[in-house]
Amino acid sequence: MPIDIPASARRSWRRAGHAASRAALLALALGAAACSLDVTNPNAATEEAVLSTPAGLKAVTIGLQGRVGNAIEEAVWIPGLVSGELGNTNASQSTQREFQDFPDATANAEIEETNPELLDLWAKWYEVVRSADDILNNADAVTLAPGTKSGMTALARTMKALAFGTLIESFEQIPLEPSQPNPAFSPRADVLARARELLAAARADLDAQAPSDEFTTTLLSPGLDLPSTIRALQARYALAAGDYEAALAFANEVPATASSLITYTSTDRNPLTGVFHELGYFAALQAFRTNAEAGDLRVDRYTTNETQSAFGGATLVGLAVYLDQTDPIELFRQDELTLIRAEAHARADRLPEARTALNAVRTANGLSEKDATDLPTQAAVLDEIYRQRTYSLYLTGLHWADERRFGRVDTEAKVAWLPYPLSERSTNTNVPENP
Amino acid sequence: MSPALSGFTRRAALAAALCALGVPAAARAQLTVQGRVTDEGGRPIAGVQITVEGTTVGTLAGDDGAYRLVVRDPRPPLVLLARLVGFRPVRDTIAETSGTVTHDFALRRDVLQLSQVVVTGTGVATERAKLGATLSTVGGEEIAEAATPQIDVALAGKVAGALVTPNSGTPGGGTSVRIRGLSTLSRSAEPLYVVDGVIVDNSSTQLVDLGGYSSNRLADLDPNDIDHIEVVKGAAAAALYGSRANNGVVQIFTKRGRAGASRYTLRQTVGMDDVERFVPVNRAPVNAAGEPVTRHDYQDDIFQTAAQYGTTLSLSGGDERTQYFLSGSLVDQEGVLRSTTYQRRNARVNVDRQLNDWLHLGVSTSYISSDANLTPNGGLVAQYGVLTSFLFMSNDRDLTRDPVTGEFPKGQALANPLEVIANWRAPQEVSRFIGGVQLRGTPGWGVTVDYRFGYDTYTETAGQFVPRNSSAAALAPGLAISASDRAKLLNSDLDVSHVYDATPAVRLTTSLGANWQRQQYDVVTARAEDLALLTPTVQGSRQFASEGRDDRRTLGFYAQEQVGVNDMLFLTAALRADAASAFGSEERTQYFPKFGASFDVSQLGWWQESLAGAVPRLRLRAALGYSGGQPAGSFDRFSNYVFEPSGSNAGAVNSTQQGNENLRPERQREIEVGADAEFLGGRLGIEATYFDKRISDLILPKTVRPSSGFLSQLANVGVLENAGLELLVRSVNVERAAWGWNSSVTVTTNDPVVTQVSDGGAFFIPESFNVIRVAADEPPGHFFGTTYVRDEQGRILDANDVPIQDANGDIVGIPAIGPRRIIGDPNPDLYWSVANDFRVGDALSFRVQVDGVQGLDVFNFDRRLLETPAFGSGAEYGRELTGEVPTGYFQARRSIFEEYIEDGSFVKLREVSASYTLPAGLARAVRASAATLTLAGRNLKTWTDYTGWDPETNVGAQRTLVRGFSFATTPIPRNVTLGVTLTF
Repeated sequence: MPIDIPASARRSWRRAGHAASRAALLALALGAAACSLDVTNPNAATEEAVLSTPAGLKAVTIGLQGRVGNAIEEAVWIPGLVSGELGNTNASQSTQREFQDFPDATANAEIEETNPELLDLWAKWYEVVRSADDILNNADAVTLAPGTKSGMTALARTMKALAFGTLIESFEQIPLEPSQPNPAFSPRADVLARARELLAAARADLDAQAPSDEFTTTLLSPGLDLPSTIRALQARYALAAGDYEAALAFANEVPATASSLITYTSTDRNPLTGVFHELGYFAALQAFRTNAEAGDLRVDRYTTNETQSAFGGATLVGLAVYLDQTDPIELFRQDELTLIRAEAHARADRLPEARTALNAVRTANGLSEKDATDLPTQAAVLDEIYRQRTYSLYLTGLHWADERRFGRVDTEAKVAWLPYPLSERSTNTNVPENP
Repeated sequence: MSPALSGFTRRAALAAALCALGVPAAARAQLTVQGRVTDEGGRPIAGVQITVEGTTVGTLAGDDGAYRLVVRDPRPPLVLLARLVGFRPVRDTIAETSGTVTHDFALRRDVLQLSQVVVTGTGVATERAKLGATLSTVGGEEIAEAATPQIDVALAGKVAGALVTPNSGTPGGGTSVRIRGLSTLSRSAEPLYVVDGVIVDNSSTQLVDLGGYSSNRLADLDPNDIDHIEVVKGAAAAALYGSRANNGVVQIFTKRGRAGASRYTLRQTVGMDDVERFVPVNRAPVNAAGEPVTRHDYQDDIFQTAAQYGTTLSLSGGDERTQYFLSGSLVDQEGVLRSTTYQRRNARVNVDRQLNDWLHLGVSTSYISSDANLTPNGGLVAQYGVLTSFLFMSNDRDLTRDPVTGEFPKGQALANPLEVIANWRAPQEVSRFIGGVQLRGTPGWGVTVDYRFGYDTYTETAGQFVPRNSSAAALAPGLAISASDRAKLLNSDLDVSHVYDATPAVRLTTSLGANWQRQQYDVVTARAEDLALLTPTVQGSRQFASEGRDDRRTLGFYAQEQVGVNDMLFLTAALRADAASAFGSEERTQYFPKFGASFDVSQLGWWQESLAGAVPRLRLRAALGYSGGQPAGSFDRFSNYVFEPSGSNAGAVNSTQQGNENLRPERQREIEVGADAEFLGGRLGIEATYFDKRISDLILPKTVRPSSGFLSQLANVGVLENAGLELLVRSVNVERAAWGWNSSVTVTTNDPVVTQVSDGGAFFIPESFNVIRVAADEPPGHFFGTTYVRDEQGRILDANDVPIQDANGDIVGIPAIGPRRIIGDPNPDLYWSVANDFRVGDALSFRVQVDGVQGLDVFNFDRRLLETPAFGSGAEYGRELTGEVPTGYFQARRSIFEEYIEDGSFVKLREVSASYTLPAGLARAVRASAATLTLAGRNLKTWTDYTGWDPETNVGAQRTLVRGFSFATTPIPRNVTLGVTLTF
């Protein structure tokens, strides 16, 4: 360097220069080392983390039951409105009121494909299917205790069957392989057959390997009786498919004291408490009370005699169920099983056995027994079964299906089937014409 | 000098703030050059940088324009270069090689600042004249003269193409800057801000719901520290900022030290804010039942004339190797809304050090601490607060504290605004450090290496306290919130450039660079309800807490080649590659090319001969560039599993928003063509640019087949287009010793249209009352709502199709409610600004700036509430009470949103200032070397047809698509500030 600079200054500058170069190199090296672009999401677990780990699949097992607990909401009130169990309390419920079976035909409106609650009904149950498939597709690849795995797969198959069985009572056809791209729609018979297959497989899971304590105490919702639920649903879908003897056999397998509940807490709230009481969207049609036999205990079990505001010419009264957000919802009621037995006998023309089962329901609900003079024919017995189902299965979402099975849908329900949601139609070319 | 040193680039000299070598030489020849730098009028210019071209030897002219430069071992030809922002550089050759020489420089104004060296978005410091794209520069003086504590507010009207909107008059910021209109629908539309090479945060995190109001973090910076600002509008920013450049880039340069004696500057301001106009209130002497009532105008109790103080002390100095700039400042403001306050304390240390003869170190650090006490207003989510409560009540109520019980009366629908002012609290605090290190090396061979490391970190905390048993019935149990946001931003940039003169006529400049950026945030919110009495902290029987973390990383590389031919034609091509953690794994690396061409026609021989007299300078330019916009959410690409309980068991399920590993940045293609011309011997400059932007791959939610178990997905589906014209005219009208007069005009047109939306349809913006919508072939964020029913002549009809006005024009009917359709567009068609600077002698100067925004609609939701009969505090509703219009008229009209869409065009007297430099004798009396008095006014007058408080405010704050929505937002204050600046 030709510039004459004192040696000490040169050294200090060189040192400074070297230090700076080293600092720059270090910073670059650190930067390069930290240059990973694979950032995981700290706010939520990712699909990969959940589906490839035991803890993740167990969490999905719980989440699946949570989803069922929420999906029940629209599966109760939409069929309830369509079939004439419920009415809207307020005209401002502009989309909910599309489902209402108005006494006053002029107030009627079409159920639009864009209806958001229609989409909720569809989407929430398919979300149940997705969570069930998450378990079924990944359980083999993850290390699980045998009894835990059998419990999880049995639960997943049961809930998937419940989803298909619920959807097919509102929609004429539904996709059975929704994880496939552009899935085809299957007719009702195929859907019921698939639901029954799934339930049979769920039973087989439990028969082959009893569920572990881990499953029953930490994963299964308290109050949910899985074996009884499987059998009750087997009975329900056998009946829907017209396989009456099978329905009878399955119904007989459910213990008379069995109950199976979806439970709620103050944070995971009963969704029907919200729409029935907190928001107060829906109330019972007064006809439920006025058409009842005197002394029927079910009238006050489900409704009150307080008149509610109403939209569309109906008279509405209060609902007496799910008053508290922690009230559980039953996955099946014992009366349903008894009435399945009655109906199976009646369809096979075994009228005395049918009447015995019917009377068990009548007396349990504060009514007197009926004998052969009261119900002399198969038609009379079936009529009485329909009537008892109307009261015993109030707000289970099954009444609309019964209206179809007993040939009353044209006169007693708003429509036979719901239209398919527009979101499905715009993303799937296989959606059938709306019924 | 060694051959390596002779290869020192000119660039290094140009870009260096100050690079002086002044070590005494022993035996070599030494040349001392000294003299004065003046303008055309012969008045001295301070701060002019004088360098020996091709070396890092240089100095700065002092206040009297005098300079002295010592050059050891000068090698002829010795070319001295004198340059300063706003003037044309002058190159003079010095023949002598030893002894002492006197050489004076006379600089001419550079009206279009084409000679200015810019660094933003160019990869390597470049004169503006060589760029194909426009880049605007604003000087620090202009920022300081604007008399506002917020830098972005000060930019209003000063940059062609940039629309600055102060969204709220709340002290402490809340400003939107849109450069050439919108470039996104789902992301923040604010530009990227860089301070001394540090990418700084400008987020508008709403930690507590103050009714839509949120501060933007640029508010933390002190305008007094600004040396100058460069604004890159689009395509030109692509090379350096790639996928973060879609909204433009604003690079802020703070003041640096100067060699010489320590120089202290003290600036003290005292100001006053008030509200320009109140909304007219109901004066009807009766209520709807016909009973006599007493009416009040509570605006007198809500608004106040607010005081503000500002103190800045700075110190700069240094020797030829080390320079420093230190500053500290304090801002203490009251808001025009009673009980609101804002205080900010800034400290800055900037140090430059020439480490050795080829390596320069620059360090910039600043610390900011601010406190504000705010109050909720407005609200598209929750409605409460002062102005909201004022709108949601009748003005026949006595709101004052009951003298007997000491309690405030309850509010009508919401709180009692006077009780909110007295008892509710919403404190906010920011503690922030911004630090940057820059190392610039010129090792020789035409190579320049530039390394920058930047770090910005802050903790922002916000609280809210609504006491138990307040006047708001809905919040009776009380509410306490404490939320914090901890932010860390890091950038590490390396640029290498090389200059090669291929032939004497052709110069090739090659730049290569790499950038690493990381942004992390952690937001924690704690909330309690059912409070204990007299306890403002988060304690109560119902407590909630939540946390959200964010982490985003970007790695970028670029290469750029510029070819200069005869200093006349410049062609630039660059390619940027960006990989970011927010991009889907299938789209991880993105490429953004840019091209630019600049041609100085006026250097052609035939031009010089024939046209140079009339048009001394004409430059034509064109640029095409691509840039990007990263997804709004760092984790949007993931398919996440979310909490789903079943009873008391905690589980997880797939989020119904499906991930998208094909997510890529929004992509902007911008073409701009323009010309820069000077007339009248360089005293009039016109810069005109036409821009055409097309932003495709806009990230919007798209419907996913619901039977899949998902409902939506963010996908690159939308397209937005915008084209406009940008005009800048600057002139030196008079430049004499006795007086001077300069003018500056900017005009920008804007015409954004969304040309493609997901699912072929239209969608409403969440949290916009379902009034703001996006639809294909319509302007983004237009208003959509109920309308009047009209006949063919445009007359408003009632439900029976009868006009509601009779032959005299009196309203006799009740309007019918028509279907919803597009009723307004909040995007302005045109915005402009005219500024004039006058100087009388050397001591007195004046500035007047008028801004206009034209052709935009504002949704006056305030008026809707004021005339809603259930509340009815507005003057209009009084007409129904006095029988001027039929009963029921306003009840019907409140449902017709078309009525409340108003023309929001306005002209504002944005800045007026007068500045007087005291005679030196007077200054010396206070031991100062100079003393200046300034009287400045801001937003003194608004001319508009808009009937509300202020057409500029917006309840959507800095939200991208909720614009022009006036709902209980604090109006922008009218301000007068008196300041004194003393230099020691």
